[in-house]
Amino acid sequence: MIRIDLTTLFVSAVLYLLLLFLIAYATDRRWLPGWLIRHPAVSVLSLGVYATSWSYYGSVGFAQQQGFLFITTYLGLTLAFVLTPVLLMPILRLTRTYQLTSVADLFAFRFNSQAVGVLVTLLMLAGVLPYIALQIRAVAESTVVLTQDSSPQALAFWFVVLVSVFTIIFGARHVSPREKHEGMVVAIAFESLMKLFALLVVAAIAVYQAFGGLGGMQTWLEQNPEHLQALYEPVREGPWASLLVLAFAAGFLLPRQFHMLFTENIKPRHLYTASWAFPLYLLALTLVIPPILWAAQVLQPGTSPDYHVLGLSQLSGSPALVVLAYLGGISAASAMVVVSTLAISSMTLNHLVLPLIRPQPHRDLYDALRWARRTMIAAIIAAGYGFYMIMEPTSGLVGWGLISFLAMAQMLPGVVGLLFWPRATASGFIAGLIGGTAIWTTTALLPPLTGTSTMVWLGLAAPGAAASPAVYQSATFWSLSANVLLFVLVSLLSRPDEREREAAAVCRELTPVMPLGRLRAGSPAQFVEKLTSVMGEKAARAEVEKALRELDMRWDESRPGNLYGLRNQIQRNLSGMMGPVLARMIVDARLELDRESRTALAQNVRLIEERLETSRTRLRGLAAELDRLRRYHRQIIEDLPVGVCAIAQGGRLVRWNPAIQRLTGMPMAEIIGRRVDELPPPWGPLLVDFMDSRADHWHKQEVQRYGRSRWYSLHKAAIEEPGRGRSGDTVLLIEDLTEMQLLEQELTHSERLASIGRLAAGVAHEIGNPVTGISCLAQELREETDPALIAGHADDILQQAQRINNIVQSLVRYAHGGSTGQRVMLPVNLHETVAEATRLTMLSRRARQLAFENRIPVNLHTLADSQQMVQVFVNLFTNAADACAQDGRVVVSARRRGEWLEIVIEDNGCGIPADVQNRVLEPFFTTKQPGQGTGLGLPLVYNIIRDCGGQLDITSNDSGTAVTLRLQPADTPLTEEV
Amino acid sequence: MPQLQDQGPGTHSVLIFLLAVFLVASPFTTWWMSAAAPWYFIYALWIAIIVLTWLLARRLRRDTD
Repeated sequence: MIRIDLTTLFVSAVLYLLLLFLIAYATDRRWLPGWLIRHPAVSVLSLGVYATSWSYYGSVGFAQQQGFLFITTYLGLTLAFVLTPVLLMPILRLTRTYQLTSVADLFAFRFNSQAVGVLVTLLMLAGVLPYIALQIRAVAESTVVLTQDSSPQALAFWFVVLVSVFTIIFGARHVSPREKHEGMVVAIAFESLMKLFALLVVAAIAVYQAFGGLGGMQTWLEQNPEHLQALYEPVREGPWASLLVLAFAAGFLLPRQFHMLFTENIKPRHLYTASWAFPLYLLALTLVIPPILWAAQVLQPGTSPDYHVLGLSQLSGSPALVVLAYLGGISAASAMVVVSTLAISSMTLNHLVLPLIRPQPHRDLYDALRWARRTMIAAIIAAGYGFYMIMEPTSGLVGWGLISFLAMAQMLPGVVGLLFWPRATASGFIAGLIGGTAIWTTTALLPPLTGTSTMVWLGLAAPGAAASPAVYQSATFWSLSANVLLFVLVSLLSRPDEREREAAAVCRELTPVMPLGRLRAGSPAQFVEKLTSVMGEKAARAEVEKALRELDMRWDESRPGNLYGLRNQIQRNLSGMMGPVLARMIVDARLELDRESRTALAQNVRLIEERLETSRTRLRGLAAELDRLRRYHRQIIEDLPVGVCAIAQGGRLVRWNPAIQRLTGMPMAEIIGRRVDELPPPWGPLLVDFMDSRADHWHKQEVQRYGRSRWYSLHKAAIEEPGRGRSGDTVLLIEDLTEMQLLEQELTHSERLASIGRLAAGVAHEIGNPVTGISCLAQELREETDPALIAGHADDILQQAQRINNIVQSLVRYAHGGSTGQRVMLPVNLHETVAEATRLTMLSRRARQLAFENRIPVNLHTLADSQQMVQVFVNLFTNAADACAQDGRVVVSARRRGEWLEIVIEDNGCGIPADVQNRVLEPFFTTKQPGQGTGLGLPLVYNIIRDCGGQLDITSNDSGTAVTLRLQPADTPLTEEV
Repeated sequence: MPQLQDQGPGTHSVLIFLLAVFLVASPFTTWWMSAAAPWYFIYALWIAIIVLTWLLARRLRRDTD
């Protein structure tokens, strides 16, 4: 057996710890590549913090005394990790979303109770402080084993100092859990590699020394079956199942496990890798325990079974192997102390210190939190060291570990309640925890301190069982039974308040949390103002700015839905810094909601949709079917070729489909949540006017965009909430009719030109007569000498020229009437319009034989474009002329019917055949001979009348046709519903 | 097939968990421990559980990506 002097061990321990500093520093400074730092293997190895000096040294001793029971510590954890999708992932989701940094945060959040946080923290402290002391003791004892020096306190002290400094530097760098301590995580991962490597090397050399190899070991086992029996025997009689339960709980509830699994998690999918890779790591770590034990039984190193690893390394004769084995122990102990302290300090700060000393607005919040955390770290390690100083050296390494595990198991009913039982209440949880903890204290915590077993005293365990793990069978059963019973009973007897129900729903993801009222603060700047009184202006501004950045919002944000999201984000961020209860208190008090004004369903639609989108992959069964249906319906609206927008009460826009994005050029992200009147012109004023009007439809509204006219039809309808009637929300549809409008204008113009062509012969005839007259008069004028007659001829010529001029002017007006895009709706005198149309129609040969009778009162007006109205009557008169025989007669009359002005154009022609009456309004449909008509006359009449807000009706029989035009009188506003 | 789609990762992990409980925490455990199983038998069972968890995790990671 070789001995190593204390100085060598001291120097190697210090150098090893300095190496950890270097690794952490190199990681934080990004000297190590990013892919390595963020590799899932690093995350998995960092979980190796689970294996403390208990695993590293104590497993061999545990195996010697309790056989394969030692393996339960790792098998139980494996069972917990198998349930990753239903157990660990939901917890990770909660901790990431709501910035929960510890088990105490998780329960305080779920039960919305500071008392819960305090109780859990106290239990954690009671369970973990002795465990930290145990690590310090393992370092000291391992030094004694190697040096035979009886005063390893100095080394233990410096170990504590260095570990404290490491934790403070690399573990308390950030106050927000969003910023991960990557340096520390990589260093802890390195420590896991270190202890695995050391243990594997020691095991390989020991097996070689004792048996000459694995074959030799197998032969030895066959020759000495009692050694294998000794491993199996305690399992058959011992607390196998109870220890599995304890390890199951410890696997994710131990503060260090929780911290590494959830708080320092970089990517959620790393957890899936850990679900199999971490048990594999533990398997590798424990696979060598039986061979080491058997090698020690053969080689007899003379050490206590807890330190056979060191004894065997000494037997190898290699000082390097001894130092390696020793450093493996140092790594196991230091990793546990670092991470446990971090986790416990965060809990203590959030649930014991901050509720007593609230943040002061005149101090820098971040500095105060950072220093408070550092102080807590130092205090907790010091407390652990103090515990080590007074700890009885009699209890084995395993004992305190199991005591700690049993404390964690008291959280198991709470975890089940948190994830699966929304009815669980804070009172139930507290009652269960107090009951379970009381039994844990009396049966597990006190006996090692007092030396007597309460279980034996109570008659629940056999005498002599106090020092053996068998006592944990009873302790586990009774403490958990009492815990569960009280938890369930008191939960059923008590009622959760609204906030607790809300938190329970969030934990179960039953329903998205809807805003419970309207936020009083109306802008991010007002958020800062309100938070300043609690945390000071600098921190308040920084927090609001951070939340804005995370949500990709701007300082001028004013939409209530987005501000509510901002409020939640600030609450989450504060929760990460100072715990969920305090964060909620601050946010509730400063960023208060006006609970009198409940928000409408429509305003929460986006919130619901966002929640559904993020949790879509987790929906199953009917919920998944409903989600598919919802997405299908939403897609219908998205794919509609007309613009759709929904407006909630208060004029807030809640839906804006892609078609309306294209129409308006305004993207959805900028629009949703805004009020309609906040939209820029022309859309804001147009939509507001339409919303205010009584009409459900506006046809062909002209909108100027980029200096050009575009035409839109608008429709609106009230949205009904199923089963509740009208919700007060409105859906608007916007159709772009610009193409159609331009086409119609083209057609109108073509039709106009065509009718001019038809009029050409008549025009020639009409002009021909005065021209002949002028010509005759001119000839007479040439020979006339009498001044009076000359003047008379000149007057006649001028009269004839005026007649020609009138004809030409009418034609020019008619030809140019529809060519411009701009329509001016003005009062139009209908009598004059009919007279003008009559004059034009009379130019055609056929119409000249017609008798026109204009019975329209001379002072009757309608709102329309005057040239278009002339076109209407010209087209109708032309049709009448085509339909009438020699004695054709057209009567135009007017009457008021209700609020309409009815103009009836009747002829005594042959009428329209009954089989084509339904088609006369179709473009290009004509009953005339080719070349006689374009088939566009009546469709144009219909379009013009519709554009004026009027109606057209045609009745026809053998004795003639009556066309009725319903127009709006000029004294009635055009846009009002009639 | 809606029935098949309904079986989420939770169902699979619970099934593996129940199998694991059967292997390492049931009367079956007591039986194989009494039946002079080789020392590495428990590790073989453990590996089997890990492999099943790995298969499930591989699918879940792919879904997450």
